[in-house]
Amino acid sequence: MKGMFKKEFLEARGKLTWGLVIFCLLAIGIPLLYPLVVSLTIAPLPSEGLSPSRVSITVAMPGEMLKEIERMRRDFDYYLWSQWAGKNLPQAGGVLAIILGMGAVANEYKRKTALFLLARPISRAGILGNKFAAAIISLAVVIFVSTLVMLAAARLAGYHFAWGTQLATAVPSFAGAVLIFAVTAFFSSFSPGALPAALGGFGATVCSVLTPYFFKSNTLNILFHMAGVRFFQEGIFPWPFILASFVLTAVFYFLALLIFSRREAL
Amino acid sequence: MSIYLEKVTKKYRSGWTLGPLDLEIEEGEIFGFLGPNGAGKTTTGKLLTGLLRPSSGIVRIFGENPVNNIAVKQKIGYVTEDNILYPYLTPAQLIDVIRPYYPTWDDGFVRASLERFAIPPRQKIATFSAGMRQELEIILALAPRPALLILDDPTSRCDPVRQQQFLSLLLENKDAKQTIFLSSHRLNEVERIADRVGIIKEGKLLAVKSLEEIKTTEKKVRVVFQKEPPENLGALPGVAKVERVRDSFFLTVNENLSGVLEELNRHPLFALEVIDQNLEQVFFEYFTEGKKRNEGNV
Repeated sequence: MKGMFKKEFLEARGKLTWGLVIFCLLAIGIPLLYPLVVSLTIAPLPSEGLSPSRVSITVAMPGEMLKEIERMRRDFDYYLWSQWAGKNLPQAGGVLAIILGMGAVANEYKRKTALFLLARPISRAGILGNKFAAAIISLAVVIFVSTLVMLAAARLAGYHFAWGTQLATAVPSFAGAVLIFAVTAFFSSFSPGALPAALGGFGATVCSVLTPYFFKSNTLNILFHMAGVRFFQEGIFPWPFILASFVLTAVFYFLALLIFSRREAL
Repeated sequence: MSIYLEKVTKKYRSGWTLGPLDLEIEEGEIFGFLGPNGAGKTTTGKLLTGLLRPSSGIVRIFGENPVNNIAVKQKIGYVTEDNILYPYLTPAQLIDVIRPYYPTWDDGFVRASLERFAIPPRQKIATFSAGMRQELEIILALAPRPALLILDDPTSRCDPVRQQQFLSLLLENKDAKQTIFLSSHRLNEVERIADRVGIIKEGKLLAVKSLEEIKTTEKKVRVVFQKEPPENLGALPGVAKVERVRDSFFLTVNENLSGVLEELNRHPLFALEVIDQNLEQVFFEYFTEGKKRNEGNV
Protein backbone atom coordinates (compact mmCIF):
# COMPACT_ATOMS: atom_id res chain seq x y z
CA MET A 1 0.00 0.00 0.00
CA LYS A 2 2.90 2.35 0.73
CA GLY A 3 4.22 1.97 -2.81
CA MET A 4 0.78 2.60 -4.29
CA PHE A 5 0.34 5.71 -2.15
CA LYS A 6 3.78 6.93 -3.21
CA LYS A 7 2.84 6.40 -6.85
CA GLU A 8 -0.27 8.53 -6.42
CA PHE A 9 1.72 11.19 -4.65
CA LEU A 10 4.37 11.23 -7.38
CA GLU A 11 1.58 11.53 -9.92
CA ALA A 12 0.14 14.53 -8.08
CA ARG A 13 3.58 16.00 -7.42
CA GLY A 14 3.49 18.50 -10.31
CA LYS A 15 0.01 19.72 -9.40
CA LEU A 16 0.98 19.88 -5.73
CA THR A 17 4.12 21.90 -6.43
CA TRP A 18 2.43 24.34 -8.78
CA GLY A 19 -0.56 24.61 -6.46
CA LEU A 20 1.69 25.39 -3.54
CA VAL A 21 3.66 28.03 -5.46
CA ILE A 22 0.54 29.78 -6.81
CA PHE A 23 -1.32 29.65 -3.48
CA CYS A 24 1.72 30.95 -1.59
CA LEU A 25 2.19 33.83 -4.06
CA LEU A 26 -1.48 34.73 -3.64
CA ALA A 27 -1.16 34.42 0.12
CA ILE A 28 1.97 36.59 0.39
CA GLY A 29 0.35 39.22 -1.81
CA ILE A 30 -2.51 39.79 0.61
CA PRO A 31 -0.64 41.40 3.56
CA LEU A 32 1.69 43.15 1.14
CA LEU A 33 -1.27 44.85 -0.58
CA TYR A 34 -2.80 46.07 2.68
CA PRO A 35 -1.12 49.52 2.54
CA LEU A 36 -2.74 50.05 -0.86
CA VAL A 37 -6.16 49.31 0.61
CA VAL A 38 -5.48 51.75 3.43
CA SER A 39 -4.37 54.42 0.99
CA LEU A 40 -7.57 53.96 -1.06
CA THR A 41 -9.78 54.62 1.91
CA ILE A 42 -8.08 57.89 2.84
CA ALA A 43 -8.63 59.41 -0.59
CA PRO A 44 -10.86 62.47 -0.26
CA LEU A 45 -14.31 62.55 -1.78
CA PRO A 46 -14.80 64.82 -4.82
CA SER A 47 -16.52 67.51 -2.80
CA GLU A 48 -13.55 67.76 -0.43
CA GLY A 49 -10.96 68.90 -2.93
CA LEU A 50 -8.85 66.26 -4.58
CA SER A 51 -6.04 64.96 -6.60
CA PRO A 52 -7.59 63.72 -9.89
CA SER A 53 -6.10 60.24 -9.92
CA ARG A 54 -7.33 59.37 -6.43
CA VAL A 55 -10.74 60.84 -7.09
CA SER A 56 -11.22 58.67 -10.12
CA ILE A 57 -10.59 55.50 -8.04
CA THR A 58 -12.74 56.52 -5.10
CA VAL A 59 -15.67 57.82 -7.06
CA ALA A 60 -15.87 54.64 -9.11
CA MET A 61 -16.57 52.61 -5.97
CA PRO A 62 -20.14 51.81 -4.92
CA GLY A 63 -21.14 52.65 -1.37
CA GLU A 64 -21.05 49.04 -0.16
CA MET A 65 -17.52 48.63 -1.39
CA LEU A 66 -16.41 51.78 0.33
CA LYS A 67 -17.91 50.50 3.57
CA GLU A 68 -16.12 47.23 3.05
CA ILE A 69 -12.82 48.96 2.47
CA GLU A 70 -13.36 51.12 5.49
CA ARG A 71 -13.92 48.02 7.60
CA MET A 72 -10.76 46.44 6.23
CA ARG A 73 -8.84 49.56 7.09
CA ARG A 74 -10.06 49.44 10.67
CA ASP A 75 -9.83 45.66 11.16
CA PHE A 76 -6.78 43.82 9.78
CA ASP A 77 -8.26 40.44 10.79
CA TYR A 78 -11.31 41.21 8.71
CA TYR A 79 -9.08 42.21 5.78
CA LEU A 80 -7.11 38.96 5.96
CA TRP A 81 -10.22 36.82 6.18
CA SER A 82 -12.14 38.66 3.45
CA GLN A 83 -9.27 38.42 0.99
CA TRP A 84 -8.10 34.89 1.81
CA ALA A 85 -10.53 32.43 3.41
CA GLY A 86 -13.49 34.57 2.37
CA LYS A 87 -12.58 34.77 -1.31
CA ASN A 88 -9.33 33.51 -2.82
CA LEU A 89 -8.92 30.31 -0.86
CA PRO A 90 -12.35 28.76 -1.67
CA GLN A 91 -12.08 29.72 -5.33
CA ALA A 92 -8.49 28.60 -5.86
CA GLY A 93 -9.05 25.56 -3.62
CA GLY A 94 -12.04 24.55 -5.77
CA VAL A 95 -9.98 24.87 -8.94
CA LEU A 96 -7.13 22.81 -7.45
CA ALA A 97 -9.63 20.16 -6.30
CA ILE A 98 -11.02 19.87 -9.83
CA ILE A 99 -7.50 19.63 -11.28
CA LEU A 100 -6.62 16.85 -8.83
CA GLY A 101 -9.87 14.94 -9.38
CA MET A 102 -10.29 15.20 -13.14
CA GLY A 103 -7.65 12.63 -14.07
CA ALA A 104 -7.93 10.43 -10.98
CA VAL A 105 -9.46 7.46 -12.79
CA ALA A 106 -9.93 8.77 -16.34
CA ASN A 107 -6.20 9.22 -16.95
CA GLU A 108 -5.49 5.58 -16.03
CA TYR A 109 -7.79 4.57 -18.88
CA LYS A 110 -6.75 7.29 -21.28
CA ARG A 111 -3.05 6.36 -21.12
CA LYS A 112 -3.88 2.64 -20.76
CA THR A 113 -2.07 2.23 -17.43
CA ALA A 114 -5.37 0.78 -16.18
CA LEU A 115 -4.34 -2.39 -18.03
CA PHE A 116 -1.17 -2.61 -15.98
CA LEU A 117 -2.86 -1.81 -12.68
CA LEU A 118 -6.07 -3.82 -13.03
CA ALA A 119 -4.30 -6.96 -14.24
CA ARG A 120 -2.51 -6.98 -10.86
CA PRO A 121 -4.02 -8.43 -7.68
CA ILE A 122 -4.85 -4.96 -6.38
CA SER A 123 -8.40 -4.24 -5.25
CA ARG A 124 -10.14 -1.37 -6.96
CA ALA A 125 -11.08 -0.01 -3.53
CA GLY A 126 -7.36 0.11 -2.72
CA ILE A 127 -6.53 1.91 -5.96
CA LEU A 128 -9.29 4.49 -5.51
CA GLY A 129 -8.62 4.84 -1.78
CA ASN A 130 -4.97 5.72 -2.42
CA LYS A 131 -5.99 8.25 -5.05
CA PHE A 132 -8.39 9.90 -2.59
CA ALA A 133 -5.86 9.84 0.23
CA ALA A 134 -3.10 11.39 -1.90
CA ALA A 135 -5.42 14.12 -3.21
CA ILE A 136 -6.84 14.95 0.23
CA ILE A 137 -3.35 15.23 1.71
CA SER A 138 -2.26 17.39 -1.25
CA LEU A 139 -5.23 19.71 -0.69
CA ALA A 140 -4.47 19.89 3.03
CA VAL A 141 -0.81 20.71 2.40
CA VAL A 142 -1.57 23.43 -0.17
CA ILE A 143 -4.43 25.05 1.79
CA PHE A 144 -2.89 25.03 5.26
CA VAL A 145 0.72 25.71 4.25
CA SER A 146 -0.30 28.68 2.09
CA THR A 147 -2.50 29.99 4.90
CA LEU A 148 0.44 29.75 7.31
CA VAL A 149 2.65 31.47 4.75
CA MET A 150 0.12 34.33 4.53
CA LEU A 151 0.00 34.67 8.30
CA ALA A 152 3.80 34.56 8.57
CA ALA A 153 4.11 37.21 5.84
CA ALA A 154 1.57 39.39 7.66
CA ARG A 155 3.45 39.01 10.93
CA LEU A 156 6.78 39.83 9.27
CA ALA A 157 5.16 42.93 7.79
CA GLY A 158 4.39 44.02 11.36
CA TYR A 159 0.65 43.35 11.57
CA HIS A 160 -1.17 41.81 14.52
CA PHE A 161 -4.09 39.44 14.12
CA ALA A 162 -5.80 36.37 15.61
CA TRP A 163 -3.70 33.43 14.38
CA GLY A 164 -6.11 30.77 15.58
CA THR A 165 -9.19 32.34 13.99
CA GLN A 166 -7.41 32.88 10.69
CA LEU A 167 -6.17 29.28 10.59
CA ALA A 168 -9.59 27.94 11.56
CA THR A 169 -11.24 29.80 8.66
CA ALA A 170 -9.18 27.66 6.29
CA VAL A 171 -10.86 24.47 7.61
CA PRO A 172 -14.21 24.90 5.81
CA SER A 173 -12.32 25.76 2.62
CA PHE A 174 -10.41 22.51 2.96
CA ALA A 175 -13.58 20.49 3.63
CA GLY A 176 -15.33 22.02 0.61
CA ALA A 177 -12.31 21.44 -1.62
CA VAL A 178 -12.26 17.77 -0.58
CA LEU A 179 -15.93 17.48 -1.55
CA ILE A 180 -15.33 19.16 -4.92
CA PHE A 181 -12.44 16.72 -5.50
CA ALA A 182 -14.71 13.76 -4.67
CA VAL A 183 -17.43 14.95 -7.05
CA THR A 184 -14.86 15.44 -9.84
CA ALA A 185 -13.29 12.03 -9.14
CA PHE A 186 -16.78 10.52 -9.35
CA PHE A 187 -17.16 11.99 -12.86
CA SER A 188 -13.64 10.76 -13.63
CA SER A 189 -14.66 7.18 -12.75
CA PHE A 190 -16.78 6.90 -15.90
CA SER A 191 -15.38 9.66 -18.06
CA PRO A 192 -13.35 8.78 -21.19
CA GLY A 193 -10.85 11.54 -20.40
CA ALA A 194 -9.88 14.12 -17.80
CA LEU A 195 -11.57 17.09 -19.52
CA PRO A 196 -15.17 15.78 -19.38
CA ALA A 197 -14.58 14.91 -15.71
CA ALA A 198 -13.32 18.45 -15.06
CA LEU A 199 -16.40 19.86 -16.75
CA GLY A 200 -18.56 17.60 -14.57
CA GLY A 201 -16.87 18.77 -11.37
CA PHE A 202 -16.94 22.40 -12.47
CA GLY A 203 -20.58 22.15 -13.54
CA ALA A 204 -21.62 20.65 -10.21
CA THR A 205 -19.79 23.41 -8.33
CA VAL A 206 -21.34 26.16 -10.48
CA CYS A 207 -24.82 24.65 -9.94
CA SER A 208 -24.23 24.77 -6.20
CA VAL A 209 -23.01 28.37 -6.34
CA LEU A 210 -26.07 29.43 -8.36
CA THR A 211 -28.61 27.96 -5.91
CA PRO A 212 -29.10 31.29 -4.02
CA TYR A 213 -30.56 32.77 -7.21
CA PHE A 214 -33.29 30.11 -7.22
CA PHE A 215 -33.89 29.29 -3.55
CA LYS A 216 -33.02 32.64 -1.93
CA SER A 217 -30.76 30.75 0.46
CA ASN A 218 -27.04 29.94 0.71
CA THR A 219 -27.70 26.50 2.22
CA LEU A 220 -26.58 24.66 -0.94
CA ASN A 221 -23.93 27.21 -1.96
CA ILE A 222 -20.62 25.45 -1.37
CA LEU A 223 -18.46 28.56 -1.82
CA PHE A 224 -20.50 30.41 0.82
CA HIS A 225 -19.81 27.64 3.34
CA MET A 226 -16.16 27.32 2.30
CA ALA A 227 -15.69 31.03 3.00
CA GLY A 228 -16.68 30.47 6.64
CA VAL A 229 -18.77 33.67 6.67
CA ARG A 230 -20.82 32.82 9.75
CA PHE A 231 -17.75 31.61 11.64
CA PHE A 232 -15.86 34.82 11.07
CA GLN A 233 -18.77 37.17 11.57
CA GLU A 234 -20.82 35.36 14.20
CA GLY A 235 -18.31 32.95 15.73
CA ILE A 236 -20.34 29.85 14.80
CA PHE A 237 -17.92 27.19 13.62
CA PRO A 238 -19.43 25.41 10.58
CA TRP A 239 -19.35 21.87 11.97
CA PRO A 240 -22.50 20.82 10.07
CA PHE A 241 -20.93 21.86 6.74
CA ILE A 242 -17.62 20.16 7.53
CA LEU A 243 -19.37 16.99 8.63
CA ALA A 244 -21.70 17.05 5.61
CA SER A 245 -18.70 17.56 3.31
CA PHE A 246 -16.90 14.51 4.68
CA VAL A 247 -20.05 12.37 4.59
CA LEU A 248 -20.75 13.42 0.99
CA THR A 249 -17.09 12.78 0.11
CA ALA A 250 -17.52 9.22 1.41
CA VAL A 251 -20.76 8.87 -0.59
CA PHE A 252 -19.04 10.03 -3.79
CA TYR A 253 -16.10 7.72 -3.06
CA PHE A 254 -18.45 4.73 -2.89
CA LEU A 255 -20.34 5.83 -6.00
CA ALA A 256 -17.05 6.21 -7.87
CA LEU A 257 -15.93 2.80 -6.59
CA LEU A 258 -19.18 1.21 -7.74
CA ILE A 259 -18.66 2.51 -11.26
CA PHE A 260 -14.90 1.88 -11.31
CA SER A 261 -15.44 -1.73 -10.18
CA ARG A 262 -17.66 -2.37 -13.18
CA ARG A 263 -15.55 -0.46 -15.68
CA GLU A 264 -13.69 -2.61 -18.16
CA ALA A 265 -10.19 -1.94 -19.45
CA LEU A 266 -10.97 -1.81 -23.17
CA MET B 1 -6.99 -27.05 -15.85
CA SER B 2 -5.46 -23.57 -16.20
CA ILE B 3 -7.78 -22.01 -18.78
CA TYR B 4 -11.34 -22.95 -19.59
CA LEU B 5 -13.46 -21.00 -22.07
CA GLU B 6 -16.97 -22.13 -22.92
CA LYS B 7 -18.96 -20.40 -25.67
CA VAL B 8 -17.31 -17.11 -24.75
CA THR B 9 -18.31 -14.05 -26.74
CA LYS B 10 -17.44 -10.40 -26.39
CA LYS B 11 -19.48 -7.84 -28.28
CA TYR B 12 -18.24 -4.31 -28.81
CA ARG B 13 -20.39 -1.27 -29.50
CA SER B 14 -18.83 -1.07 -32.95
CA GLY B 15 -20.56 -4.36 -33.73
CA TRP B 16 -17.35 -6.42 -33.79
CA THR B 17 -17.78 -9.68 -31.92
CA LEU B 18 -15.28 -12.17 -30.60
CA GLY B 19 -16.29 -15.80 -30.47
CA PRO B 20 -17.99 -17.93 -29.52
CA LEU B 21 -14.71 -19.36 -28.24
CA ASP B 22 -14.29 -22.80 -26.71
CA LEU B 23 -10.84 -23.56 -25.41
CA GLU B 24 -9.20 -25.67 -22.73
CA ILE B 25 -5.55 -25.31 -21.78
CA GLU B 26 -3.95 -27.73 -19.38
CA GLU B 27 -1.53 -26.93 -16.57
CA GLY B 28 2.07 -26.74 -17.77
CA GLU B 29 1.15 -26.23 -21.41
CA ILE B 30 2.59 -23.54 -23.69
CA PHE B 31 -0.21 -22.39 -25.95
CA GLY B 32 0.53 -20.20 -28.97
CA PHE B 33 -2.30 -17.94 -30.09
CA LEU B 34 -1.90 -16.77 -33.66
CA GLY B 35 -3.83 -14.28 -35.70
CA PRO B 36 -3.49 -11.04 -37.63
CA ASN B 37 -4.19 -7.59 -36.16
CA GLY B 38 -7.80 -7.19 -35.10
CA ALA B 39 -8.43 -10.94 -34.98
CA GLY B 40 -9.27 -10.91 -31.28
CA LYS B 41 -6.00 -11.96 -29.62
CA THR B 42 -5.80 -8.97 -27.28
CA THR B 43 -9.51 -9.21 -26.40
CA THR B 44 -9.01 -12.87 -25.52
CA GLY B 45 -6.03 -11.99 -23.32
CA LYS B 46 -8.07 -9.33 -21.52
CA LEU B 47 -10.91 -11.80 -20.93
CA LEU B 48 -8.42 -14.24 -19.42
CA THR B 49 -7.03 -11.61 -17.05
CA GLY B 50 -10.50 -10.39 -16.05
CA LEU B 51 -9.93 -6.95 -17.56
CA LEU B 52 -13.01 -7.54 -19.68
CA ARG B 53 -16.26 -9.31 -18.86
CA PRO B 54 -17.57 -11.72 -21.49
CA SER B 55 -20.87 -10.78 -23.15
CA SER B 56 -21.83 -14.42 -22.79
CA GLY B 57 -20.18 -17.72 -21.93
CA ILE B 58 -17.90 -18.86 -19.16
CA VAL B 59 -14.29 -17.86 -18.47
CA ARG B 60 -12.49 -19.84 -15.78
CA ILE B 61 -8.88 -19.52 -14.71
CA PHE B 62 -7.84 -22.31 -12.36
CA GLY B 63 -11.57 -22.98 -12.00
CA GLU B 64 -12.48 -19.41 -10.98
CA ASN B 65 -13.91 -16.31 -12.61
CA PRO B 66 -10.97 -13.88 -12.99
CA VAL B 67 -13.04 -10.66 -12.91
CA ASN B 68 -12.12 -8.65 -9.77
CA ASN B 69 -10.64 -11.87 -8.32
CA ILE B 70 -7.51 -11.05 -6.32
CA ALA B 71 -6.61 -14.69 -5.62
CA VAL B 72 -6.66 -15.57 -9.33
CA LYS B 73 -4.72 -12.45 -10.30
CA GLN B 74 -1.96 -13.38 -7.87
CA LYS B 75 -1.38 -16.43 -10.07
CA ILE B 76 -1.31 -14.50 -13.36
CA GLY B 77 1.53 -12.64 -15.03
CA TYR B 78 0.33 -10.39 -17.86
CA VAL B 79 2.27 -8.58 -20.54
CA THR B 80 0.57 -6.39 -23.13
CA GLU B 81 1.84 -5.20 -26.47
CA ASP B 82 1.33 -1.57 -25.44
CA ASN B 83 4.00 0.11 -23.36
CA ILE B 84 1.73 0.97 -20.47
CA LEU B 85 4.19 1.55 -17.65
CA TYR B 86 4.10 4.77 -15.65
CA PRO B 87 6.68 7.06 -17.29
CA TYR B 88 7.25 9.20 -14.20
CA LEU B 89 8.28 6.24 -12.05
CA THR B 90 11.59 4.38 -11.96
CA PRO B 91 11.62 0.56 -12.18
CA ALA B 92 12.45 0.44 -8.46
CA GLN B 93 9.43 2.62 -7.63
CA LEU B 94 7.16 0.58 -9.90
CA ILE B 95 8.34 -2.60 -8.21
CA ASP B 96 7.49 -1.04 -4.83
CA VAL B 97 3.96 -0.40 -6.13
CA ILE B 98 3.16 -3.99 -7.10
CA ARG B 99 5.47 -6.21 -5.03
CA PRO B 100 3.38 -6.07 -1.81
CA TYR B 101 0.44 -7.68 -3.63
CA TYR B 102 2.32 -10.87 -4.58
CA PRO B 103 3.21 -13.34 -1.85
CA THR B 104 5.58 -15.20 -4.20
CA TRP B 105 7.52 -12.21 -5.50
CA ASP B 106 11.15 -13.14 -6.33
CA ASP B 107 13.48 -10.19 -5.63
CA GLY B 108 16.57 -12.15 -6.65
CA PHE B 109 15.10 -12.87 -10.07
CA VAL B 110 14.20 -9.20 -10.55
CA ARG B 111 17.69 -8.00 -9.64
CA ALA B 112 19.37 -10.54 -11.91
CA SER B 113 17.00 -9.85 -14.81
CA LEU B 114 17.34 -6.07 -14.61
CA GLU B 115 21.09 -6.57 -14.78
CA ARG B 116 20.82 -9.09 -17.61
CA PHE B 117 18.74 -6.71 -19.75
CA ALA B 118 20.81 -3.68 -18.66
CA ILE B 119 17.77 -1.87 -17.23
CA PRO B 120 18.79 0.85 -14.75
CA PRO B 121 16.52 0.47 -11.70
CA ARG B 122 16.72 4.11 -10.63
CA GLN B 123 16.22 5.83 -13.95
CA LYS B 124 12.81 7.17 -14.99
CA ILE B 125 10.91 4.84 -17.31
CA ALA B 126 10.15 7.84 -19.55
CA THR B 127 13.78 7.75 -20.67
CA PHE B 128 13.67 4.08 -21.74
CA SER B 129 13.38 2.84 -25.29
CA ALA B 130 10.21 0.94 -26.27
CA GLY B 131 12.19 -2.32 -26.16
CA MET B 132 13.46 -1.63 -22.65
CA ARG B 133 9.97 -0.82 -21.43
CA GLN B 134 8.71 -4.08 -22.87
CA GLU B 135 11.53 -6.03 -21.23
CA LEU B 136 10.76 -4.40 -17.91
CA GLU B 137 7.12 -5.38 -18.30
CA ILE B 138 8.16 -8.97 -18.98
CA ILE B 139 10.39 -9.03 -15.89
CA LEU B 140 7.55 -7.65 -13.74
CA ALA B 141 5.21 -10.32 -15.11
CA LEU B 142 7.67 -13.13 -14.36
CA ALA B 143 8.75 -11.86 -10.93
CA PRO B 144 5.81 -13.27 -8.93
CA ARG B 145 6.55 -16.74 -10.42
CA PRO B 146 3.01 -16.89 -11.84
CA ALA B 147 1.27 -20.17 -12.49
CA LEU B 148 -0.18 -18.65 -15.66
CA LEU B 149 1.60 -16.25 -17.98
CA ILE B 150 -0.53 -14.36 -20.47
CA LEU B 151 1.69 -12.73 -23.04
CA ASP B 152 0.13 -10.50 -25.65
CA ASP B 153 2.72 -9.93 -28.36
CA PRO B 154 5.41 -9.60 -25.71
CA THR B 155 8.32 -9.05 -28.08
CA SER B 156 6.63 -6.83 -30.67
CA ARG B 157 9.01 -3.99 -29.81
CA CYS B 158 12.14 -6.07 -29.21
CA ASP B 159 14.95 -6.48 -31.71
CA PRO B 160 15.92 -10.08 -32.71
CA VAL B 161 18.69 -10.30 -30.08
CA ARG B 162 16.38 -9.18 -27.29
CA GLN B 163 13.69 -11.49 -28.60
CA GLN B 164 16.07 -14.43 -28.22
CA GLN B 165 17.01 -13.26 -24.72
CA PHE B 166 13.33 -13.06 -23.84
CA LEU B 167 12.61 -16.60 -25.05
CA SER B 168 15.59 -17.90 -23.09
CA LEU B 169 14.39 -16.08 -19.99
CA LEU B 170 10.92 -17.53 -20.45
CA LEU B 171 12.12 -21.10 -20.86
CA GLU B 172 14.74 -20.91 -18.11
CA ASN B 173 12.11 -19.77 -15.65
CA LYS B 174 9.31 -22.05 -16.69
CA ASP B 175 8.62 -24.88 -14.31
CA ALA B 176 6.60 -27.97 -15.18
CA LYS B 177 3.39 -26.52 -13.79
CA GLN B 178 3.53 -23.09 -15.33
CA THR B 179 1.10 -22.47 -18.17
CA ILE B 180 1.93 -19.96 -20.88
CA PHE B 181 -0.62 -18.34 -23.18
CA LEU B 182 1.49 -16.66 -25.85
CA SER B 183 -0.26 -14.57 -28.42
CA SER B 184 2.15 -13.40 -31.04
CA HIS B 185 2.74 -12.25 -34.59
CA ARG B 186 6.15 -13.87 -34.53
CA LEU B 187 5.55 -17.37 -35.81
CA ASN B 188 9.12 -18.51 -35.22
CA GLU B 189 8.72 -17.57 -31.56
CA VAL B 190 5.56 -19.64 -31.20
CA GLU B 191 6.97 -22.53 -33.25
CA ARG B 192 10.04 -22.64 -31.03
CA ILE B 193 8.28 -22.94 -27.70
CA ALA B 194 4.58 -23.81 -28.08
CA ASP B 195 3.05 -27.22 -27.47
CA ARG B 196 -0.23 -26.31 -29.15
CA VAL B 197 -1.40 -23.43 -31.26
CA GLY B 198 -4.77 -21.79 -31.80
CA ILE B 199 -5.42 -19.82 -34.95
CA ILE B 200 -7.93 -16.98 -34.73
CA LYS B 201 -9.35 -14.92 -37.56
CA GLU B 202 -12.03 -12.22 -37.37
CA GLY B 203 -12.95 -13.27 -33.85
CA LYS B 204 -13.41 -16.94 -34.71
CA LEU B 205 -11.10 -19.72 -33.61
CA LEU B 206 -10.28 -21.56 -36.84
CA ALA B 207 -8.15 -24.35 -35.46
CA VAL B 208 -6.48 -25.63 -32.32
CA LYS B 209 -3.72 -28.13 -32.98
CA SER B 210 -0.54 -29.37 -31.45
CA LEU B 211 2.65 -28.54 -33.31
CA GLU B 212 3.16 -32.28 -33.71
CA GLU B 213 -0.25 -32.53 -35.34
CA ILE B 214 0.57 -29.67 -37.68
CA LYS B 215 3.80 -31.35 -38.71
CA THR B 216 2.14 -34.71 -39.33
CA THR B 217 -1.27 -33.75 -40.73
CA GLU B 218 -0.93 -30.32 -42.31
CA LYS B 219 0.54 -31.12 -45.74
CA LYS B 220 0.53 -29.83 -49.22
CA VAL B 221 0.09 -32.35 -52.02
CA ARG B 222 1.30 -31.53 -55.53
CA VAL B 223 -0.35 -33.58 -58.20
CA VAL B 224 -0.11 -33.54 -62.01
CA PHE B 225 -2.87 -35.45 -63.77
CA GLN B 226 -2.32 -37.17 -67.13
CA LYS B 227 -5.84 -36.27 -68.18
CA GLU B 228 -8.43 -33.77 -66.94
CA PRO B 229 -8.61 -33.57 -63.12
CA PRO B 230 -11.67 -34.94 -61.30
CA GLU B 231 -14.39 -32.31 -60.89
CA ASN B 232 -14.83 -32.54 -57.14
CA LEU B 233 -11.15 -32.31 -56.16
CA GLY B 234 -11.81 -29.56 -53.59
CA ALA B 235 -14.61 -31.56 -51.99
CA LEU B 236 -12.43 -34.53 -51.02
CA PRO B 237 -12.57 -35.13 -47.25
CA GLY B 238 -9.53 -33.46 -45.63
CA VAL B 239 -8.79 -31.08 -48.51
CA ALA B 240 -9.01 -27.48 -47.35
CA LYS B 241 -7.97 -25.75 -50.51
CA VAL B 242 -6.92 -26.38 -54.11
CA GLU B 243 -4.70 -24.12 -56.17
CA ARG B 244 -3.64 -24.57 -59.76
CA VAL B 245 -0.24 -23.49 -61.04
CA ARG B 246 -0.02 -24.37 -64.75
CA ASP B 247 -0.35 -28.20 -64.94
CA SER B 248 0.19 -28.75 -61.21
CA PHE B 249 -2.55 -28.82 -58.59
CA PHE B 250 -1.59 -27.97 -55.00
CA LEU B 251 -3.95 -29.46 -52.42
CA THR B 252 -3.82 -28.17 -48.86
CA VAL B 253 -4.63 -31.19 -46.71
CA ASN B 254 -5.27 -30.79 -43.00
CA GLU B 255 -6.55 -34.30 -42.25
CA ASN B 256 -7.13 -37.72 -43.91
CA LEU B 257 -3.88 -37.56 -45.88
CA SER B 258 -3.82 -41.27 -46.69
CA GLY B 259 -7.44 -41.14 -47.91
CA VAL B 260 -6.66 -38.18 -50.17
CA LEU B 261 -3.58 -39.93 -51.63
CA GLU B 262 -5.57 -43.09 -52.20
CA GLU B 263 -8.27 -41.13 -54.05
CA LEU B 264 -5.71 -39.31 -56.21
CA ASN B 265 -3.95 -42.57 -57.09
CA ARG B 266 -7.14 -43.83 -58.72
CA HIS B 267 -6.43 -41.42 -61.56
CA PRO B 268 -3.56 -41.66 -64.05
CA LEU B 269 -0.87 -39.27 -62.80
CA PHE B 270 2.40 -37.80 -64.01
CA ALA B 271 3.47 -36.73 -60.51
CA LEU B 272 2.33 -36.97 -56.90
CA GLU B 273 4.37 -35.30 -54.18
CA VAL B 274 3.70 -34.68 -50.46
CA ILE B 275 5.24 -31.44 -49.15
CA ASP B 276 5.76 -30.87 -45.39
CA GLN B 277 4.59 -27.52 -44.00
CA ASN B 278 5.94 -25.45 -41.15
CA LEU B 279 3.83 -23.28 -38.87
CA GLU B 280 4.38 -20.20 -40.99
CA GLN B 281 3.07 -21.93 -44.09
CA VAL B 282 0.06 -23.32 -42.22
CA PHE B 283 -0.64 -19.85 -40.80
CA PHE B 284 -0.59 -18.26 -44.23
CA GLU B 285 -2.76 -21.02 -45.64
CA TYR B 286 -5.44 -20.12 -43.10
CA PHE B 287 -5.23 -16.42 -43.73
CA THR B 288 -5.09 -16.44 -47.49
CA GLU B 289 -7.60 -19.26 -47.79
CA GLY B 290 -10.60 -17.23 -48.91
CA LYS B 291 -8.65 -15.28 -51.48
CA LYS B 292 -6.93 -18.26 -53.05
CA ARG B 293 -10.07 -20.37 -53.12
CA ASN B 294 -11.61 -17.78 -55.39
CA GLU B 295 -8.57 -17.59 -57.58
CA GLY B 296 -7.77 -21.21 -58.10
CA ASN B 297 -10.43 -23.52 -56.75
CA VAL B 298 -11.44 -26.38 -58.99
